[in-house]
Amino acid sequence: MAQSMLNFELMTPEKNLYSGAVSAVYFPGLDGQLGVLPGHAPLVTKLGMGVIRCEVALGREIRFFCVGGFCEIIGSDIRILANIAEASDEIDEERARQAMERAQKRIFSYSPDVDYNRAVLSLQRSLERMQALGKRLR
Amino acid sequence: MANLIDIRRRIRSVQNTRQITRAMKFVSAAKLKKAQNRIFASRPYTRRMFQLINHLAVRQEDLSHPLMEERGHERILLVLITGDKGLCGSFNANLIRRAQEFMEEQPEAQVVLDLIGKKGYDHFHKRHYEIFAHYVNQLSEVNLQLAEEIARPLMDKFLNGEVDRIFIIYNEFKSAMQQNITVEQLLPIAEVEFEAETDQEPPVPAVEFIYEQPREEIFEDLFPRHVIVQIFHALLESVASEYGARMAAMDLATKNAGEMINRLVLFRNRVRQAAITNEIIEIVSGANAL
Repeated sequence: MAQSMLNFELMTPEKNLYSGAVSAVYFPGLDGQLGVLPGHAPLVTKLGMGVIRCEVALGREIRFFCVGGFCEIIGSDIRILANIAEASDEIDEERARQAMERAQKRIFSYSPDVDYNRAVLSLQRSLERMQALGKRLR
Repeated sequence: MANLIDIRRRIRSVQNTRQITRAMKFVSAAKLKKAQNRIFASRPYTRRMFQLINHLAVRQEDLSHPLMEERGHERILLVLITGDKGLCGSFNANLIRRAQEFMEEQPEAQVVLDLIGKKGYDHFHKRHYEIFAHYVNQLSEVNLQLAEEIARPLMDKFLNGEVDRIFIIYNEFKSAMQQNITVEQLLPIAEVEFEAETDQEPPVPAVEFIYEQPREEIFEDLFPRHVIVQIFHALLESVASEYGARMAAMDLATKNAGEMINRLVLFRNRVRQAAITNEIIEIVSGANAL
């Protein structure tokens, strides 16, 4: 069963972000990054947080930012049901940068009243958002 | 005799009312359009979620989860979604009536209410029904967070064994003119539910999935998510129906105001004519007397 394309669908309860043929999808599973090419075995996984990349055409890819949800791969269909997802052109770069700086400041303040876990999560989120924008990070 | 000035004043007042109802109609129409688009946007997700559960259910014979546990009919929690505002015809009244009918249909059961929307809360609060939770004036902004806020306590209550069944009553959106009151069982999640949608899609080869996480863990997340999404969907439908109902009600009100104005104008003309005729008679008889 050799197909050359995957039917990729990405949606949240609020909207349908992408639906169409792609040649590859890379997305963050809960237990690590996954890459899906046509002919993949059926698979179900929970989604982590991070960047979804899909290759629309050779060398051209679209990026999304996502947090949590599920992914189902069946036949040539790959469906990502994300809890939160944003297309890279919807992401507010300024906001992500501010969130990143704020989180960094909080983490490195070493103050006892900082919720450390929350700050780290927030830093991760902002970093992944920046990644989805295709920004190089230090 | 009816006073000409009074009638004119009356006409102006009705005209003002008509202007307001017309404006409300247009506002509702615009909001309806937006609400409708949100329903359409959420449909693919809901459908795929359903399919995913279905695909998993088909591959597992003894699919079980605490949220699917059947426990009988004694203690029922009824979620009722009404509107926060009136001026939408019989929208709220119908929902409340349906809820009351529902309770009468289960005379042996003990029913607790979960009320979303001010109208339903006001009604049942005043009559001292047992209310588990209520959400008032939150429908102006329906989002997943709100759905989660509503769904979590419900699931907790079910999992604690405090209630046996949870039903939801809401207005399903068919079209702007047509609404459908729907009663659905929210919990336990019924297995038959999953079978229903399969016939549209070509049967999927029953290959076993690779599970990145243990199956139980996936279900642990998937079922609560399903419940939240269902509530989210019900909220969207209800809000759209409310705007639809309001639009229809305001359209009718505008029409009625128009009719009333026509009648008043006719009446005004007649009164004016009568006054003129009267004056002429007076003048003529005055002239004759000379």
